Amino acid sequence: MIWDRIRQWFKTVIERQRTLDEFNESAKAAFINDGIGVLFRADEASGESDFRHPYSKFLLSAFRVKSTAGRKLTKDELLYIGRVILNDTSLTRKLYYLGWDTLRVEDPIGGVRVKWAIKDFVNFTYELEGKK
Amino acid sequence: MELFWKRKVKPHKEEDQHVDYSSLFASMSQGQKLFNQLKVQCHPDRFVGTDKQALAEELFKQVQENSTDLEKLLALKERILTEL
Repeated sequence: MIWDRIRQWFKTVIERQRTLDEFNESAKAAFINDGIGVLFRADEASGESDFRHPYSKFLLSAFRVKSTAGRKLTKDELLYIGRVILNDTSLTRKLYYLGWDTLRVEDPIGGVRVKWAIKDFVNFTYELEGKK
Repeated sequence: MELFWKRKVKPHKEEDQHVDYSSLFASMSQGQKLFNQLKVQCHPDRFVGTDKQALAEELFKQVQENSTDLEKLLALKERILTEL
């Protein structure tokens, strides 16, 4: 039904925004209270066409995490931050079904950026394909 | 036919989609430093020919597997300090 699809579209939009808000609020709290040296901010950006999956959104399909304040980060640190996010199964699956297909971690201060295909880290893909 | 505006919407279950952001950011900030420290401390090459080599190999493997989980790394640190 068309109404179901419209309702589902609004629901997904709201949930995507809620996920971004939760991430940014937690990043702010960690920066202020827990003494983390870098303030991260998540937003949406254009994704990689090679990383698309069945749930991908047409536009803004990348979940981008940027360091907005603090020290300069090295490429190793950005790679580690990306791995921390992708090893969190519940967050990765949430990003997947909410339509993000690319995870970007960027440091505009140092000019370094790295990206991953989220579908490669959602374990159930392998189960569906019958791979072990 | 059921009208869409009369359909009951299931309540949003927070616990189903819970993401522990505080531990996520703690791992981001402190995990890498601890991981680098632990992988040196329990590297099997340091225990070649000793009776702790097998234990070091097991701990090293666990450190590698949990490289992004700060809580598990802290638990492994305790084991490394007491058992190795």
